[in-house]
Amino acid sequence: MTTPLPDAPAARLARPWGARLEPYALVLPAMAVLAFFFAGPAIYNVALAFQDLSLFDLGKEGRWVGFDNFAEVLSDPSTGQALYNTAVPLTAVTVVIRLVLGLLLALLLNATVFRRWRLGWLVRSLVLIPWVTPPVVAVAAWKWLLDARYGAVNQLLVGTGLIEQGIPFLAKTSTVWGAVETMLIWRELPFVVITFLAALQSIPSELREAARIDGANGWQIETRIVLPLLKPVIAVVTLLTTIWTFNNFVYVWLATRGGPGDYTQVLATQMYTTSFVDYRMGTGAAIGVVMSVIMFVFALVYFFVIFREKGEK
Amino acid sequence: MKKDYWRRLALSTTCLVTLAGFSSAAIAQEQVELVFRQFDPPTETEGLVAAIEKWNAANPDIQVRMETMSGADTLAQLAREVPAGAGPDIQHLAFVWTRDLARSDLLLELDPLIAAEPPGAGLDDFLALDLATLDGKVYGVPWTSDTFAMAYRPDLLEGADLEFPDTWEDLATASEALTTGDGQFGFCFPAGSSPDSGMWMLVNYYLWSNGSTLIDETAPGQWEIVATVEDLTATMTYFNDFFASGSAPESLITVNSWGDPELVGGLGRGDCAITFFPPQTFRAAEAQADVPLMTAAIPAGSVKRISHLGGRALGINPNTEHPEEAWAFVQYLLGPDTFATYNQYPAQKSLVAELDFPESEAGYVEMMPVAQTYERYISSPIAVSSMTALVNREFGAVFSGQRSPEEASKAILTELQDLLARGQN
Amino acid sequence: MAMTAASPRRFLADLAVASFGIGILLILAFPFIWVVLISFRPDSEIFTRTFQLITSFTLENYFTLLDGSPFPTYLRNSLIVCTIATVLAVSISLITAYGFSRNRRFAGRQLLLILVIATQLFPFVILITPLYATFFALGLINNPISLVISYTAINLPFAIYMLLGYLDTIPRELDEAARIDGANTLQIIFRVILPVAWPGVVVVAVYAFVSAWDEFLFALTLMTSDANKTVPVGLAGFFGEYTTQWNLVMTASVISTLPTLVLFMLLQRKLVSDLAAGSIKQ
Repeated sequence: MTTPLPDAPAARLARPWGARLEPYALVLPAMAVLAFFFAGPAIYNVALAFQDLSLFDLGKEGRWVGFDNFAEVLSDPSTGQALYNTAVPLTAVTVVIRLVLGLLLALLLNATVFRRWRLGWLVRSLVLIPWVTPPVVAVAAWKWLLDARYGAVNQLLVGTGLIEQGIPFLAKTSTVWGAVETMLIWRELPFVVITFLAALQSIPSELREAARIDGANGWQIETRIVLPLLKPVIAVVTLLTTIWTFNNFVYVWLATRGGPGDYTQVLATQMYTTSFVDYRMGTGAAIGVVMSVIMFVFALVYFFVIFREKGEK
Repeated sequence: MKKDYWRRLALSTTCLVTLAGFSSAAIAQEQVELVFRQFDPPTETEGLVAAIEKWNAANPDIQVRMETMSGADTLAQLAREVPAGAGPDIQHLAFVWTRDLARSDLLLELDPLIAAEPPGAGLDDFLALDLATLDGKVYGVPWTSDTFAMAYRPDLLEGADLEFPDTWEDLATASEALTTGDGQFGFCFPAGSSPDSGMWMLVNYYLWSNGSTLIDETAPGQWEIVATVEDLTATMTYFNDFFASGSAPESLITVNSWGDPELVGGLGRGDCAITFFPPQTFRAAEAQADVPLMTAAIPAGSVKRISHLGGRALGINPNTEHPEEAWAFVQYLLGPDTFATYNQYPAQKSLVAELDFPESEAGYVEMMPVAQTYERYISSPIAVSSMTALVNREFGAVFSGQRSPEEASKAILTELQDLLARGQN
Repeated sequence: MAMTAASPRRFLADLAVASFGIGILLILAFPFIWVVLISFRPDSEIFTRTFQLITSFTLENYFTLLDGSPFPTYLRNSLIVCTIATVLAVSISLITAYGFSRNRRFAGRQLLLILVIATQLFPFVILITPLYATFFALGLINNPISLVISYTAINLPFAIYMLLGYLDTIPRELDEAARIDGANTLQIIFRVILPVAWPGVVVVAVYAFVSAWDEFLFALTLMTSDANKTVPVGLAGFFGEYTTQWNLVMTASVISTLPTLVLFMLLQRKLVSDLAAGSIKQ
């Protein structure tokens, strides 16, 4: 069954109708589920952004206010700050660090020694641990580890004499982003690692052997041979982690609630407080639409730059 | 090969259908089944569960099932459910929600039921009924009540040869005296910036006791921001000084809830000499502490001593098919039988009068009569939750050094004016 | 293990790499180890003034949770819902990804791929309101089917994209050969492609399972009765306005991580044996 045959276009040409309709038949079930689940609600979300509607009146139609909600959101100076916080400290920094660390860790864990010593299962299970910890618990555990007085991190730093007094990492503007980023990266890194690991495993070892015989050193093999082969996976992981992180609400909310003050306010927390603290669903939805548009533009650009290139190959 | 695949598909479909069967099968019974939704965690509701079991045993025709949903999620859930025609029959409500829900027809008007069968010793016996009333109609019945009091370690105060501080100024002085530099702090309080942080309570106690308030109805229908930049600046400076003087640990700037282990355990370990708690939290702290804990009155300001009267009400869903049965159950929950096992302060004057308070809860006994509801804020055109979020955020900005007390005070007043203008529109 | 004798230098290098790798992973796992330690502590000892790994040891939290609380029911509900949703998401997305991967030029392909990504753009806190109304109209509130549908739908976009990436690396010659042998497309997907794409499928399955396992908003909104609740909603129930049972939260989360780890190990086993089988054939 696995004997590779030379290209056999005959099989496809023999069934022109089937061949033409088959792709649609194959993608139909998924598209139907997605349409049922996302299409209506997404339209609702956009419609809501043009209304003035209280949380308590969700069952009724709101007052239609045109672009008022958008005007309010875009003219509010706190939106600019929240956008910056979302784009840079929350998304860009953590995505880049996750990709780099994830790639390095995946390369390390792909070392043949783990397979030869039958440690593969142990290594891959250990990697997974942060990710299977529920976010609310992961953040709570980190908050306690970072606590100025009771936290293990500070107790260790003080114990070794590195600092004299514990640092309240989440209470200081100089350290709060670092702390939130640490939590996010810690919990989300395993996803990147196991994705890359799976991709690395599908690279035939013969490729490396061949390169080695040709005289390439380890670094050259990884950067010239392995990295290009990982490109499709890296492309997908980058796109998705960027979108997810940009929309992510959980880490900032659980760790700081956007504080201290409004120092770590991001668009997702701003949307949440507008909708569920100020009860202004229309304005909240407008923030959501603004976020969607930003990410949509990002995804389109990304899609055409990265996937076009692949499609033409 | 092909058959095999379809067999598997059929198998998984069967699984799904069976799943669908299981939840609908239980409903088809003759007796009335009511759903009562409440939002406290299991450790606080053992007595309530016992009371409901007793009801179910005595009323085979009206069986009540208790659901739990955390308070933070309840409002949005009701806003989704009730317009769709769903939701629990009886709903546990924070005092401050009732009017918002009533205004949008998300609660059943109770007057006909009350007229047919008045609850308890009559409506006048209930505390905070004003919060459950909209345009003269009653939409909820106050059920449990609580206020806040200071909680402290008598041994630590004795050790420092201190009486419990009587005024805010005394508290600041005592707090410094109780700070030892080896991990014991004088006064611990939730200073977090969250929209629901406990800071809000302290800010209002301080403002009210010194004769100010954020907003007030100066003439009928005429709402005005009352607090001045000076009032707010003084309040911010007062609380910020605990951090500046080192008599409160900076890690509190990230603590939002009075139930945080930093506070509950802090008192138990003696890392905090004084804090402030509602009764349920105080009891949890007592259970964890090796030494006796005490409560005392909230410090007095230049004008008076005050705390807020909070609590929970019971409401009925307008979608319920069994309003009479639901009302009968509400009446049972309001009665002394429930409070025999449910460890909460009732919201009825006659029942509170009968209560035997343990000595350690003396602070609550003292504060109950002077406690005031958030009525003046709730009636205003600004959502209380928005005010709370704004105040907590700006205090957090001061504590973390992002803004000076003056800047933050001005920010609060500007935004309050905006909120007022929008609310009146 | 006979390999270790091959060369002492090679062995030392191996040992260095292995201990370095596992060392890093243990450091990464530390916050979770901390959670495990706290789950064996009484509530009053969550914080200690000095660094202590072990304070007093108690199994009480585990007893409270497993005996006399509805937590085991939540675990069972989560297991059923997440397993079915994962199987559905992986099967549907594998078929879809195959369709996209093997047909590069059908009309609307680009548009559909963009639409799939577009589903990831909208915030669930807003989408949930109309979805609640839809599921209520279908009579699926407090019915696990609504969660199965939701988790399948939520995971499809990611699964499609990931599997598309993996399938693109699998040579088409495999399909052609199978087709000549008389296999139809579904047979090719599940009999030929699935085993070869297994490393990718495992990642997608674990991702789908973990994200369903952690999902809170849909579970909270669609499953209100205790009998139908899932683990994350059960966890949230420990957080009260007045008090929070942190040690129970920690214990519950330790227990709730086990199913995912077990699932992953089982899938990994299959992976390892398949790869081994593949290498023997070669």
